[in-house]
Amino acid sequence: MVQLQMMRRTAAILASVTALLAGCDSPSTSSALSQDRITALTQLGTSGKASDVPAILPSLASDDPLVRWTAQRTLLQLAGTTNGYDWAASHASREHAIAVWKAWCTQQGVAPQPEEARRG
Amino acid sequence: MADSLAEPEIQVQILSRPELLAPVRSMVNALAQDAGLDDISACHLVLAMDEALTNIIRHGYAGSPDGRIWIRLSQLADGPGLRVEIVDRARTVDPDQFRGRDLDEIRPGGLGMHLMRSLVDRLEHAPRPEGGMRVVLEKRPAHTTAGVA
Amino acid sequence: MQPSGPTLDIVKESVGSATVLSPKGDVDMARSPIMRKAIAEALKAGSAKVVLDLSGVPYMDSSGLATLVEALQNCRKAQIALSLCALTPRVRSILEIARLNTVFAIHESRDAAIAG
Repeated sequence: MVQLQMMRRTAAILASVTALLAGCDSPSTSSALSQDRITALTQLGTSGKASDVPAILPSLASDDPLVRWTAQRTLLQLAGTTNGYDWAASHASREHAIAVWKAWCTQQGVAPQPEEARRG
Repeated sequence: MADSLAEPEIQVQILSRPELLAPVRSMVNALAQDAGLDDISACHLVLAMDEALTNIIRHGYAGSPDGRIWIRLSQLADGPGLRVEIVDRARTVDPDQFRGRDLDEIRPGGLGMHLMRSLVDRLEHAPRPEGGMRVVLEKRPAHTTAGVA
Repeated sequence: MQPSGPTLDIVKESVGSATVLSPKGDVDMARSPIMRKAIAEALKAGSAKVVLDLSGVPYMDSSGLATLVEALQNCRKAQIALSLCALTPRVRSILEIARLNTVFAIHESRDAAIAG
């Protein structure tokens, strides 16, 4: 019963993260959506798994440094690596690391979300 | 993690929600250590910042989850250490109220202000002409501690 | 769909005459009410002793400290012994700055706290 509740909670968290990440990215002045995204990412870090990684990748490209930081931390918790991504690095460096993460997902057999695949 | 801030400063805006304090703390902790603070010193700066943010959420915005708080983080210009500037648009609080209580009196509340003063090398707080408050915290590595102004 | 609220896992165990509570995570403004509730429930259970194992707490703010102080006062009223154990260096440092390190019974290990 406890395991079923945990699975349901994890599914709910993933659904909320996916829904939040599907929205437009906010500018450096964070919106309420950005704040909910941060909270969802934080929760995913404690109860998610490697297969949740694709849903987090769009947050690595956020203009909000706190979103990027939280996404990086969550990826480290779920996958055990940052794949060279640094939330405080230059835009070009972050973009390169995001590409590395996409390749990591492919290598791990973790399918990206449909929105993620369209954004490329 | 970067060895130093890639940009001269990092600006973050959060809403006045307690659940956002944990990610802010972890980010500032990492930045503080990148800026030359050891683990305990970084923890002290983070705690002081956390207390300031808690005061804003609890008292300034009276628990409303929609208040805006701006946080600016920068390395100190004159050596290792980190500067945290916090700005809000909450109701103005008279800084003279921030006296903290006598610690010899053991009771649950009133610890926050004393902690803030004790934890950092520089603490400034003042109302802003345009409304709200501005708090500045600075922390240097332990061997360069100068005491709170 | 909104994310659920902050959580703080607290393991509760009975060891002899002691109730041992082991929170896991930061004890801050969002989570200290959870610890407060767990301590209140432990006091109701009627143990002679309550031990807070803080080895899993990497950080505590003033609301967490306030929760500890309140717990101490309630334990004194109920004539229940309260002790803390296995403090992380950061939390120990915070208690020292708040001058609460001399107020609480603090032990290095859980076993020492249970036996003390």
